[in-house]
Amino acid sequence: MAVTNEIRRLRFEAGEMTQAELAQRIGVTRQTVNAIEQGKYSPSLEAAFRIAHVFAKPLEAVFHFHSEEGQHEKGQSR
Amino acid sequence: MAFREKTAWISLLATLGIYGFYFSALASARGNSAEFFALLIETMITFVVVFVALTIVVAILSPKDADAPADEREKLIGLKAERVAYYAVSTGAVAGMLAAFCGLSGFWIANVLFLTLVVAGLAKDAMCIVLYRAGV
Repeated sequence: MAVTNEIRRLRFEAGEMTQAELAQRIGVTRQTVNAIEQGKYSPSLEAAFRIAHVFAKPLEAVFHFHSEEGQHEKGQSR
Repeated sequence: MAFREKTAWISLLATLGIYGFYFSALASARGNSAEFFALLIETMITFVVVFVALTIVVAILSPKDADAPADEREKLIGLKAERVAYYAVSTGAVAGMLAAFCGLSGFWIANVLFLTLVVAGLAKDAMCIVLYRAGV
């Protein structure tokens, strides 16, 4: 998958925040949070920022982009 | 399972069962066009009643999910599924035109068009379920 994320870990670190609670805070269904965690759905930019905002983290600390060559893109300029 | 995935399953199974009965009767070609028109109306009413009743049951069992508006993923799934249905409708429209040009009766042209709508509905429901399960 091209985009992976740290949402499961971040939920754990946020006191085992439930998928339902995160879903309610970002305005999607619990099933969509589950799909994002499992890599079955890449959220819109707005939803991604909302998720990062909930955990008070920068976007690149929550989501990682992997290019087709297998390189990990950290999101910062080089 | 998401509420909209459940309604897609209800629609898919009701379509297969109820409209499948109509088309199997049509394939056996027992009855005249007036009788088939009556059967068509009956099956359409039955489909609507069954679909609405089962959707209400599912909504009662999970009212929170049923009340929630579609989110961005669900809207995307709906759009992708409708695109598949559009291809089915386009193909069926051409089939209906060909049936008319070939001189088939209004009865058969109407049934080709009805089959088109049913197949498009099935394609949409099936695509919805696949996208909910496999990912968008």
